[in-house]
Amino acid sequence: MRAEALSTREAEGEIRVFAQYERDFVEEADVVVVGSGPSGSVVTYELAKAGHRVLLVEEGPPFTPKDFRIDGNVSMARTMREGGLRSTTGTFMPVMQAICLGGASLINSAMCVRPPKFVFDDWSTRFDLERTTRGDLDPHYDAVGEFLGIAPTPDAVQGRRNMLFREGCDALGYSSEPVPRNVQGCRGSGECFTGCRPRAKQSMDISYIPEAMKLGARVLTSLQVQRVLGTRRRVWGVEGQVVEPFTGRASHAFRINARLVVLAAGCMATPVLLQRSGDLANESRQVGQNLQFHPGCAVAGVFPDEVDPLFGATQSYHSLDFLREGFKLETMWSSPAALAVRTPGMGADLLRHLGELPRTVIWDAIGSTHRSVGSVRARSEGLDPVIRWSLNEDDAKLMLRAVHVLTEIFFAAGAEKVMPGVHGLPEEITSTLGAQAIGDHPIRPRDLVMASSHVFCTTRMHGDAAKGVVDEIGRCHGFDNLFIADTGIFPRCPSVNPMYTVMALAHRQAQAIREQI
Amino acid sequence: MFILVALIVLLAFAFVRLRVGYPVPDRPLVILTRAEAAFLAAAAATFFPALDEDGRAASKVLRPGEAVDLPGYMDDYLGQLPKRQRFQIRALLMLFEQSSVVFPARGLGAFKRFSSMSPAQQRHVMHAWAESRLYLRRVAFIALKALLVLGYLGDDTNLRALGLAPWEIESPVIETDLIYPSIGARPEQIAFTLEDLAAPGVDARSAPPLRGVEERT
Repeated sequence: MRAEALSTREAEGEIRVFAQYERDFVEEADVVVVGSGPSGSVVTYELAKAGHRVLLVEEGPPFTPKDFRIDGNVSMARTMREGGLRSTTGTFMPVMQAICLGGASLINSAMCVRPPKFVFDDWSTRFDLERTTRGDLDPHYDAVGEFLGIAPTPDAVQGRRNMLFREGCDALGYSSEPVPRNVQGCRGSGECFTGCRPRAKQSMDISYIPEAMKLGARVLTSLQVQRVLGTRRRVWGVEGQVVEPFTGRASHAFRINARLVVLAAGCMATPVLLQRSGDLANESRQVGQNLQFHPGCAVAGVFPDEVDPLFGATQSYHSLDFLREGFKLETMWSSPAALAVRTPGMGADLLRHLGELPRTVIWDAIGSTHRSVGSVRARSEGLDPVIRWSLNEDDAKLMLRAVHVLTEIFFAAGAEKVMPGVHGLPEEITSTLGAQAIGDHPIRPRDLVMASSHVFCTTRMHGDAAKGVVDEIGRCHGFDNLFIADTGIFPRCPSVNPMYTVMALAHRQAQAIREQI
Repeated sequence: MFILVALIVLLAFAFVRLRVGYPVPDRPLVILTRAEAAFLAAAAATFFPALDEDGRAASKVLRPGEAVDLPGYMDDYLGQLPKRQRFQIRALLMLFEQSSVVFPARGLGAFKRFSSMSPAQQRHVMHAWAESRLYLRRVAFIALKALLVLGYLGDDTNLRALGLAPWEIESPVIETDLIYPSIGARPEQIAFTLEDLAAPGVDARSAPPLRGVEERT
């Protein structure tokens, strides 16, 4: 149950933005939470509700609808780290991390999916995590789901391009279902990735964070934490600099003294922060290691008639039928320009394809590529990481298999041609017979064009302190007051979209912290 | 002495190759050099030509690349990027503009700068990058193409022609609009008051009209 409106009560909390910092400063809190994405926001709210003095620190600014940009290029430059141009080395893959109040929730498609039981069984047995079964986490999923109003996407806002996916799956006998999302009053504008102008998406900046402020939490934006202050066994705060939105120019210095520190800066930034803090919490040598992704491959299908692609929720139908095999299939929409990037051809051929955009539908597959493991480490300066990661050959075959299945679903749904977007395959496939060539293709990892925003495991949980960075409640091994709450603590990739799970884990972590302090 | 002369000749060649003979852009640019702007204009004409190879209109719907101010778009876009990424993109543009030194085109003038080649040579050069056996060349091509397509469709005229222009949406005022100022502003500059708050459950005005869709049975 949410509290009365912020403006109608004597709110104890506050928010500070870049223009308000006029000098160096020091703050005190019971708990400082670094990062305002889904996990940091849940921890902040739950601890504020318990009466603790919580200070939430975010490097990015709050975005209002006036600050959103519909142009995908410009929107990414404003809302993502490294201007949206971050990528892996090894196998090239763009990877996207947000820098804004609310973190990824501001610019993701609001998919809230619970991983199946076998994922947690695997985590429990492989990583000595006895209390991290699906049953253990279900009450935490329920609590978050109730708060955000998570519910399956209604048919009224699916739109044709999502429904075609359902029709194709039905025709082939694959299961499919509407995606549960944290939205209220969606109108199907399909603008999740550039900021929800209709304000339907319950991103953290308009849900958990204002509720936490009503309970007294303080939110300081435009603060870049550069160092966790502590010794080998105990931390006492963080310090860093005030940075201007977009330019990153530093203005003033700050320090926050706190009894307890929660790092929720994201799977890329948290390990870099620990490395920059004297290699903190790294007796296991696992900080920055074990990096995994859900790489995504997009496939485009062209239908005989216009599919009204502008209308419909961004990603609102999916199939979980292939999770055990290692991939998840889902619908997708973004700004037309961003989607057109994967259009094949050049010259008149490219223009012909672009002219087909009103008849074009994009679906994608995300893979559980457990065999493809990389690392994150700090650069010589700054907090942007060097990301090493290479796609394993067997995982490349897995992704190609997913592309093949998507192609079959397209034809089953009535597509007249499919563009698989894989180097070495025909640019256009016009029949199911032609689609068989995909299955026979000798794929190499570098033939795939992929992107990912699902990143995991760089500070993984493990019951054995020698093999992981945090324990089952996200507390760094060897510390009693340093916690990590982002997707870095996942021991393996979760097979489905991670936001719901990281919030459920954060909810559990907040309960444990409450008991501790 | 010979080394010194060779060095001077090399520097002179590099200067001419990198700086001399580029046209003045149609509009003043803040970040892009003349060379970068010339490359973008040439690349736009290659990727989005007015005519196909048989001399017919390449598209009945979309404007040719020459009619879209790609250099201007890119100049604005680069201005919003962090320094390192801005440098990377500019290096990418120059890589393609000067690549004929290492990967020459076909026929006479095979070593010319990309922006000075004939349209047929420009097409050949780009196809060679797209289909290269060298992974990094293909990656560079994908990155360049992404930039060009985003810029080309960043032009509203093209999106409108496709019927894909963004919705007109007036965002409802919600409670956080009373406490979050726009980026760069101070809280005192927030213009909204309690009276502006949308009633709970009110949809965005002018949002896409909901379509009738058959319920699943």
